[in-house]
Amino acid sequence: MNFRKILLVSLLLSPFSYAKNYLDENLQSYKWNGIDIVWMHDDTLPTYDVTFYFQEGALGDKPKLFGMTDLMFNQLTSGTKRYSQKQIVESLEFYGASYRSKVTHEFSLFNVGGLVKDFVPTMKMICHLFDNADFPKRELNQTKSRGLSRLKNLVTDHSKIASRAFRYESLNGTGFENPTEGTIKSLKNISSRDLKKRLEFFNKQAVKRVYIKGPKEVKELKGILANDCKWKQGHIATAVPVVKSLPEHKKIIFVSLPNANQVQLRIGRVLKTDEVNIGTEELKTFAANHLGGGFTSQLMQVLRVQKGLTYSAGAVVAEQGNYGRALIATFTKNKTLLELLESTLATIKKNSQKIDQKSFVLSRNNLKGNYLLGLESTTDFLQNLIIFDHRGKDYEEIYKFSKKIDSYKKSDLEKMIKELFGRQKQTILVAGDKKLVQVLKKAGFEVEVKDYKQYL
Amino acid sequence: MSQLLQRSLIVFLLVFGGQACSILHKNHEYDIALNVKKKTLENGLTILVVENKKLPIFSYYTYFKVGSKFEVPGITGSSHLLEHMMFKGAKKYGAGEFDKLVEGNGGKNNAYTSNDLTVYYESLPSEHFDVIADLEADRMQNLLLEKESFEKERNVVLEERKLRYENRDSGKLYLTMMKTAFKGTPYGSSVIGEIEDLKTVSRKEVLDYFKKYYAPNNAVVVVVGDVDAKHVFKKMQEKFGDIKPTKNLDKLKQKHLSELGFDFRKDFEKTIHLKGTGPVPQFMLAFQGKKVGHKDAFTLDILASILGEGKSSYLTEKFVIAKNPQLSSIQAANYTLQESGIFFLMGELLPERKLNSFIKDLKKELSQSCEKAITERSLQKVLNQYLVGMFSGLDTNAGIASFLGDREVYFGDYNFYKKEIDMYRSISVDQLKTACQQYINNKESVLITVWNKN
Repeated sequence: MNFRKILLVSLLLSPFSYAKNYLDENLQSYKWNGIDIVWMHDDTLPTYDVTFYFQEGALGDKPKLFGMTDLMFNQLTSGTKRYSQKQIVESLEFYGASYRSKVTHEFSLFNVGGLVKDFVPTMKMICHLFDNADFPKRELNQTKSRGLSRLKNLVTDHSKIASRAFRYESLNGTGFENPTEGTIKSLKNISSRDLKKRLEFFNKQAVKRVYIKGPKEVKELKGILANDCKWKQGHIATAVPVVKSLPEHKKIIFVSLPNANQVQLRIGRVLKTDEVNIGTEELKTFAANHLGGGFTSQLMQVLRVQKGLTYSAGAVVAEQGNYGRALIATFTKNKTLLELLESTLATIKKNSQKIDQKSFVLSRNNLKGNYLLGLESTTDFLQNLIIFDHRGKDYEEIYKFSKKIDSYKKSDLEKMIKELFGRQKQTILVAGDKKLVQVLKKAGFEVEVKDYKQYL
Repeated sequence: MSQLLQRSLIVFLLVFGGQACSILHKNHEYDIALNVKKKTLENGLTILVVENKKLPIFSYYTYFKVGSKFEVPGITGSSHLLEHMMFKGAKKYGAGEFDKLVEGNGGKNNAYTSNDLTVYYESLPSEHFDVIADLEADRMQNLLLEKESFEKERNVVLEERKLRYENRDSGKLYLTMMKTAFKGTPYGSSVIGEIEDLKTVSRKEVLDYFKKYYAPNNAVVVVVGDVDAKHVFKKMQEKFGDIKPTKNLDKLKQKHLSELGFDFRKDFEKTIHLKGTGPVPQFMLAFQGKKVGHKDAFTLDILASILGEGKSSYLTEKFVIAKNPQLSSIQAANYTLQESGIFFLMGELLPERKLNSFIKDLKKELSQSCEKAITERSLQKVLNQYLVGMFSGLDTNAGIASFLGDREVYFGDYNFYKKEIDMYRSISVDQLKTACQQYINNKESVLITVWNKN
């Protein structure tokens, strides 16, 4: 971990150089039983927030068992030899504790929050679960049944189904294409035994870090991790694939949705391994923000303000350790699909060729200010640090963000927009009523039609 | 721009269903100490300020005490349409200027509309407070409602309506439930508006509506962050002091609201089956509730949490994680509005479970729940959960502004949270059981279902 003491924000957050920030004084690091600990000392509220980071994610799920890691975390509360599911959830909720997990392809997080007064019993229970979760068959079958039901009902949310299908198509063949929560087929295959083995790997072999926000009482966690979780630092992680090439999609992927009176559009691509973590993250964020980062972004201005085609249009670029994604998402009514598609492509093209000075300055200022606003909540701040550590970035980069953004010229931004969203590299996916296939074909687009069910 | 109903509902439930527990602790170890400064200008504009120097940023919330309940047939959706149009230009700062100034100065803004309120908010680096005060004053007194952008936003709202309600089974459920439960009252129209009204409402009608309700004496401004309260009050006087209030506003509002009244209709019991797209049925079951601030509304907040909030809630145990589960999820909520309220359950069946037999089981279980679900421990559990929920909203300027603004608008007192705490604290297991019998057990209800087989 590239932990370094946070420098004075007042020196680095230019132009907000008068910042009266306490982060520099309150972020501390420890090593407990070989595990790296990051503690944000915060006693402004009588609450705590703890996140366990594991350098192991859904990539470790066997091919027929996609969703296993996600299910393993979800089932932690389903029972141990000592406590039933009912006793566990009642106990945690009695303490007012909230808990949730997040599994990405490359890493996993388990987060617990609650009242400081109940910190010790809550964390002892959480560690008891990690050490003793039994994954009873009945509870597992129930959860699987709920998961399958949720997937079958996904068709009621066209935006979600479009995004799920887009992930699969745009990442196809990279190793990252399967949804971390699994599929109808894969969920059925997962057994209690699979989950126990997976948890054992996380407990004994996975690389761990712990991020804590709260007052001094949270230091009690040191003993709990050692005695109740029985954790030592692990050293093994599933190999993360190297993404060397992009999936080829010459045709528009059309996902047919029954009775849709709106049409979803996704445009984007995977970022190859040699395109990520190379020092251009800020510029990529700038490019996405310029195109679709707020009400004044180029896509919102053209698609919503000027043409009234949609309610929302957004662009985002995100990077993990070995790959990244660039994505534009929007929607419109059926009869304006072509106008939306052509306007979106034209806006990308225009901004990859010539950006006017006013919008450049506006995007730049907007991005810098919003970055600062994103640090306001200490919980959000810690989430930033988790991602930085995962990607091996120095925390100081947080405070260099503003200066880095200032260093970019219009030509840098134009070039990056072209690199990220240039037409040739994109996967384009449209999800909507099947009748629209003919509209696209008539307009000269080649189209490949797929049923939404194949993505469930 | 809009967060509309779904967001509003979430905010509402968090605030009014989840904030009072600090007081429930007898030693008061969790009392909230917010140093709020308040001033009311001569024209009636109320201003609250909290200085918070943690970071050089601030949040600015404007509450207009107008929402869909003030709309009449033909102009439904106007509060929400105005929410969009408020970002489309005024006299001093023309079309597009609002967003450009906020975002160009490193800030972000948004708004939401509910049945009772419309709330606009911005967060920025603190050196831009004066600009925001100027922008907000400009649009309060000189909104343009330009014809061209008005027509475009009409289309945008129609698309938003499809996105949130027409194309989502859960949206259809919610919209139908609200319209049915509150039929014949000012809450019986939808916040997003009827499709026909959205297509036909004129610029003039919306402008008239704006002139009536978007006045300083119908607004509360909350500023939290790295600001100087004296400077804020001075600047607000300078920018807003000359804006004229709407005359006889209270009478006007009272007259409008009393025309229909808020009594539930006598034939409240109703079942509606909607055609949806999902292969699994979803449902909502609503009972008559009470308005914000009513003693029973606090009791129903707790009852909702005991019955259907969290994995250990009574109905989740009975129907989701039971030996023979029927549902993939169930939640209970007490939705308290300014003049009325409903208590509702919503959930989704598991595949191949029978909707009709489930509804019978649910009603049977509800009748037993009044005795079985409510215990000292389940009451204390809910209070602990409320406490966490309350604090989780207070770690940002925006969270504090929203916390104070809600109370100022709904109770006329930003400090009301202390009384709320006392209200929750005073509720006993017996009172909860009585309320359960009075409002839920075998009471008239509205049942809405949706799936592709209806």
